[in-house]
Amino acid sequence: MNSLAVRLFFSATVWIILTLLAAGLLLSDLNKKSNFAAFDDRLNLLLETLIGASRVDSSDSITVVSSIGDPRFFQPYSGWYWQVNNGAQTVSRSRSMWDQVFTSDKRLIGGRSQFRDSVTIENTIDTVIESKKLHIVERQISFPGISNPINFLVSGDTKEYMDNIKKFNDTLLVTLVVLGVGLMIAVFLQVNYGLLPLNKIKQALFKIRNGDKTKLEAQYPLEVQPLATEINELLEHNEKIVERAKTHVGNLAHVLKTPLAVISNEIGSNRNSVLETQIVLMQKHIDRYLKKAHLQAVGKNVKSKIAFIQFLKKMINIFDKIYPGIKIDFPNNFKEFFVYGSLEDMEEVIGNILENGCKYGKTRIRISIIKVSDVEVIIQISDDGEGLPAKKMNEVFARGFRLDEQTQGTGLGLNIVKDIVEVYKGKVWLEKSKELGGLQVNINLPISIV
Amino acid sequence: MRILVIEDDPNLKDQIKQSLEDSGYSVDSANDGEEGHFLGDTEPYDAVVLDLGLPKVDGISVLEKWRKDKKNFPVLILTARDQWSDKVSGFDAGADDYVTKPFQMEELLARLRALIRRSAGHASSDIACGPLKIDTKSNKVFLNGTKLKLTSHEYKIIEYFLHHQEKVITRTELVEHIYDQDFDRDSNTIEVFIGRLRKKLGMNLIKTERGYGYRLSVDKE
Repeated sequence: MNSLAVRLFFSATVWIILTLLAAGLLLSDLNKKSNFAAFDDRLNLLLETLIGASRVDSSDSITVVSSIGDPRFFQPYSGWYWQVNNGAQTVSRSRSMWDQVFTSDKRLIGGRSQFRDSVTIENTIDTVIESKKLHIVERQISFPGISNPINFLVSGDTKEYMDNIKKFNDTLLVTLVVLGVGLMIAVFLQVNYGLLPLNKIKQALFKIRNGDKTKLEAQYPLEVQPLATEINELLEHNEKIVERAKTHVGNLAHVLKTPLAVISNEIGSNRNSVLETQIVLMQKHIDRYLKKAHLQAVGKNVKSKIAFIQFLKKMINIFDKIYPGIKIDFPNNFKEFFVYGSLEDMEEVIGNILENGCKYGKTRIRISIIKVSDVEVIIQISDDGEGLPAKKMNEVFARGFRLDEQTQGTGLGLNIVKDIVEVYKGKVWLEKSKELGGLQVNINLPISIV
Repeated sequence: MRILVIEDDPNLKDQIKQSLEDSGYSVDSANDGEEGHFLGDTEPYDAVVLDLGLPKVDGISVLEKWRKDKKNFPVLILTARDQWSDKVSGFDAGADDYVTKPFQMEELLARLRALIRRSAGHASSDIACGPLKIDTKSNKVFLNGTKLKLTSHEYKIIEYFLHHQEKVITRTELVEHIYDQDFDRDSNTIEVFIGRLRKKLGMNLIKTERGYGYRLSVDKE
């Protein structure tokens, strides 16, 4: 029940079923009652005709002078019977009753069969030759000259209206089922249509995560718009916080490092002085905490879809400028792919690796890309430097490790590369370059779906 | 060679200026982005040292404006920010190299030297023209392998000539590139320097292009 659609659909369905069920029962009951009343009216009419056709004869007894017109009263065991009783004595009865009589408790008793009957239709009749349910009306009339009231009784076969009721109920059931299914389809469509804006938000958020968009742009319905607005504000707020923190960190770097540069230059070439050591120490500390602050922002910077090949080419151009003595090979046959992330993070990763390559390499760096699948690539950057002994390969990822104390840097480069790549759910590992003989840095990086 | 240094910290600015002057450059300096941009826009510099964190107008904007106005002198950026994104935005704006603060002055000088050399199309720190050779690292000039004794102005002129070999250089251009802004310029002194240099070089290396200026070239046999 954790889905809005299921919730809405389920609750509407329950409500539809209950309503249709109630409506069905009510309609069926009304129909049954109306059929019953109509039949009752007919039997009463027949009863009154029977009474009207009865005369007190000369022996102070009752004679039915003319029969009721319905031929079913002449058809044996048709269920349509009439009977006139003077007390327990049956005075006259219809031909259809053949050899049977109604007893005082409304049983139909005869030579071969015994019915239980009833005025109400619910009671069934047990064993019969022709199983029938009878609807009986009776009336007692007092005639002048006859001491006992005369009992007139007319019965009809309930099959006639029971069939009608059944037919009606069948039709009603089919109608209600069709209606119910129709309503459920309508509810399904309505729920989907109603939740469309939420799906749109979901897709828009996916696009934001995938780097195609930076905020929710479309107009949403009144009820959903506040949510979209809130999300946009949250995105913007996050961006601002990161931006502000970065500015502060940058300013801090500036205000600390400039005086440090002044002091360092003031000491001049007196490299072994205590001051010099302290300056180097301070610089290391500042760098360390700046990098730490920077790492906090990794993954939180403004993200976008980075066209990676294009980005690599730009970085290569920069390094061609800074290190004209190092040739960076990057074969032109790689198909463009996209990495969803912050450009700053990627610049840090590639910048650090290429810088290491340029510092420790002799003349060449080679970059190649292996597409592992639609969702990941391996970027290999190798140099023709001295390389690293296998046991040192893991150490370079440790914080502050420096391969060469002569070359400027804090030794945080590869460690930061690893931290950033891991935030992007990628992997970094080192090996000896087979082609160039130096160090090869491998980055396995998830890529964006185009 | 004339260099523009734009740095808001007065101490650091003076240190850089001093070091550059000691290395034989003529140096102008500015404290903020606005003044710096104006100088770069109006004076012909051979290279610029530009701090990125500047008051009034930041370094990146200054650089972008220059590049938009087709100012092609090499620019070395000084940045306190160690992150690649800052360096990349510097390069995007048109920088040619960077040095992160704090730095060793030697490194700054080496980078700047390489930058000027590269922008003039020379790969090595030694530039030669026939028997004449200059070592830009140590500011020494050799003729047929013998070291020449030169005054700082003479050095500046010969260095400029060597960076722009076979090119006709006007007197005004020489004045603009060997003197800083505050120097009392007199283009007649150039003739004096050229005369002295011709004597020291002893050969017809510096040629007079009548009505235009001078040209450094070796006679082809």
